[in-house]
Amino acid sequence: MSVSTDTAKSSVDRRRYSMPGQALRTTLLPISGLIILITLFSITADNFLSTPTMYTVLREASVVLVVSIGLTFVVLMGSIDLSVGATVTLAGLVSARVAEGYTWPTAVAAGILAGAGIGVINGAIFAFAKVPSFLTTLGTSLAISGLALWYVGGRPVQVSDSSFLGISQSTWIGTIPNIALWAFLLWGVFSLIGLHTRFGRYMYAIGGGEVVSHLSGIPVRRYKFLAMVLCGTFAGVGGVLLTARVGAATPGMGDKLTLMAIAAVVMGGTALTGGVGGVSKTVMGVLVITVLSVGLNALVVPPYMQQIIQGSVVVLAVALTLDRAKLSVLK
Amino acid sequence: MTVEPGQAVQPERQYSEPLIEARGISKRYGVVKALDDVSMEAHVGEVVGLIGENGAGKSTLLGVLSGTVEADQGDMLVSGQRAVMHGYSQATHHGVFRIYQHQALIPNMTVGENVFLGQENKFSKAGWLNRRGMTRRAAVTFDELGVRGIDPAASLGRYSFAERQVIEIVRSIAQADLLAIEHPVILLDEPTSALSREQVDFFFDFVRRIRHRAAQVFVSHRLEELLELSDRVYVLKDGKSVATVEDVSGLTESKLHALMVGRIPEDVLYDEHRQQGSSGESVLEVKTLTASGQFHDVSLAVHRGEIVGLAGVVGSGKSSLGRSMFEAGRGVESGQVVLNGQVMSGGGPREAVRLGVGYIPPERHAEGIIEVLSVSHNMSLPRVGSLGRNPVVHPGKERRSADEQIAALRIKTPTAATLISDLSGGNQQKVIFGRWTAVGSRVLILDNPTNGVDVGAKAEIYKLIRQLTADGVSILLISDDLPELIGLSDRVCVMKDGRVTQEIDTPPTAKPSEAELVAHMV
Repeated sequence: MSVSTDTAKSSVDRRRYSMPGQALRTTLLPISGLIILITLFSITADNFLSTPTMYTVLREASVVLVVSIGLTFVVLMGSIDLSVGATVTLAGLVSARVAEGYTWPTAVAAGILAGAGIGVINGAIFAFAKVPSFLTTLGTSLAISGLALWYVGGRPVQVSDSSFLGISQSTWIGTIPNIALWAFLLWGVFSLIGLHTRFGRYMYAIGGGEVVSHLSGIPVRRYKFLAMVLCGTFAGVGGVLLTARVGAATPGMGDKLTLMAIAAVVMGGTALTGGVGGVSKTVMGVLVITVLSVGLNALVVPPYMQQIIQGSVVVLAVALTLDRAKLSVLK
Repeated sequence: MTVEPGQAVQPERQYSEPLIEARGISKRYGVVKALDDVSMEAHVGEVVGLIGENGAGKSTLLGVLSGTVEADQGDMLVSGQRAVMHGYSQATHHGVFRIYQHQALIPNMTVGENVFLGQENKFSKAGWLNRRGMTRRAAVTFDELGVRGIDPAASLGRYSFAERQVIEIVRSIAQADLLAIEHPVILLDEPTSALSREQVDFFFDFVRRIRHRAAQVFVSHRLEELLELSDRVYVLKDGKSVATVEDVSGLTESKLHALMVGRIPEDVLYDEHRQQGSSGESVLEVKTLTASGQFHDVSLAVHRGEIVGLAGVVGSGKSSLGRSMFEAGRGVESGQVVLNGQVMSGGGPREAVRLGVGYIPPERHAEGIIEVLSVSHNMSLPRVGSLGRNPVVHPGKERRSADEQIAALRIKTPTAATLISDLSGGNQQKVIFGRWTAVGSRVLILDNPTNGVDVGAKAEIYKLIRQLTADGVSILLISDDLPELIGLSDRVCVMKDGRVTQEIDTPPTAKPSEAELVAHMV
């Protein structure tokens, strides 16, 4: 249709894509947090600002980042996946067990498929049986942990295949550990997918308003399902990478990752209410969390104390990043 | 619920001193002057109307009066005393109560608990809440005000929206009593926007009844209602008080409109001469469509370029019918939705959008816009959401398309990347229109498209609708706004209890009166 007007020109001329204040804040806060942490640790721990420490941070950050990528989509959609940690454990154990009898590509595929399978189950319960994601994944998380323990009889599984270990431990570019290459490659690709594809847009739209999305013809349920599958798959990838890095899969090895990933996603600037944020931002949250834990280790802070500090920092960071003035309801 | 007929209380001012007075209030937000030296007063015994377009400063002024917005300059006086209010709870201690458009009541609590919400400390001993005391005291107030049929011990959720609106006002008076304030100030912030006509009548009766108890300030978009209820009217425009009408008897809607927008309204708001008539081929049809509990055996057709109005009281099934049509007949029990001769297969909005049908839902905030997304992302939802085949969204194309619609529909927004929540209601509504014009929808189902938009934006939306039909777009217009429905439509179908009971031709030369239409609706 055409309604001719003379205001047409002016509105096009004024096309300036300025960053709104809130977006600026969620971008700057994690960066400044990171700088503060690095400065603090550099002063207090003499060996902190060194190449080995940097690689430690990269290695530690990689698994968290991989898990957080998938989780970011789910959180963007306004849902949550509390089973990522358990899925990492299961996928790690599956790949390690399979590696005992088959070639390493089979083992890797088995681990990732295990994660995807969990995603399918979560997605089906959540999107089609309409159980809230919080409850769905809280429940499956427990079941998955049990399944993993039962599968290996509660014992760790060693990996001896050097090709398998090489996935994480080799260095293809300079001395950068491969695991970091994988993680940042996936991060780059999925940042673009989040920003420039229909799939990404659907996540923002569904998170921002499910009814509106439905009325615009977006197949909401299908995409809720797909997001959960994606999240499970990424947890699977994370499990395989972690196993290859450590050289073994142990029951409970992914437990801490659920909270770390959620904290990283939220600190990066993706709101738990959905619709705001993105994969590209999550990396900053991941780095803040990892630098904190590596730095505390460098300072030889006792583990109990570390937990207290990490917990407090997460709450503080979320309190700072959330635009609470805009939250009319807090649940 | 009924309100006892009491003797009509004379609307004359009983006290010479204003109960509440705002003097020279100014408020800035950044560079925008939301209020510029605005003064107003309200006396016990009168209903003061406050009107202005969106963005004229009504909400800010109400905010200042109720303590939720702090003025940069100016004074507030309550009963002649200077009052400093930081926050709404301090305002209530001065006896100022605000009735919100979207009610501030909690449905799962009892009526009595709701009435004294926020005053629990008056009813508790050693931390133990005396619920019975609350209920009893609430009952006394209901009795005093002559409201029958509301049980203070019953759950609030049982009562209709209109009844709850009354309960909210009762709450103001009951809480004022509790605080030993003889006359409260009651700010009615668009209380009728969600009410049907007969509910409005019921509500107005109540407002008139309590006139002698309080000073009331009434804000509404509906000029007709404002004239009906108010004793005096303040007109705001661009943050300034442009007129104070002391005697509303000589005022007409068009005069009021002219004061608000600052220009003479066009004689023909609805442009009746641009009606396309019903002679085109049939585009969208429903045949014996039935969905239990919502509508029954409905058949109607919309022709090319035609506007078919759908009238009916709230609950008559007109909204669910429109929604079912857009859902391509999903969830109906029997009957068909036919588009261009093809029976739709119940594939939900996705099917409808792909076949060129667009829909504007009645609830803009819940169903129309995604507040956290930009104007351009909101606009491209159907294109990206169900028409796009390419997995990649092209940012340049998306922005160009948004800019085209912003220009064509005269949407006032700094850029296409601005968050839609920063726009006024009327402009948000235009973005939703742009959603469908951008993808060239040939059929539009509009459910109260001018709900909650100001008069200026309304006129523009009417123009747009006319332009669309001139381009051959067919429109089903569902509306509670009868003048709009009669003015725009080529034909009006009236629904009652889920059935289409009447079909009235409304050619430009022979428009029926509202009363005729209402007669068929009830």
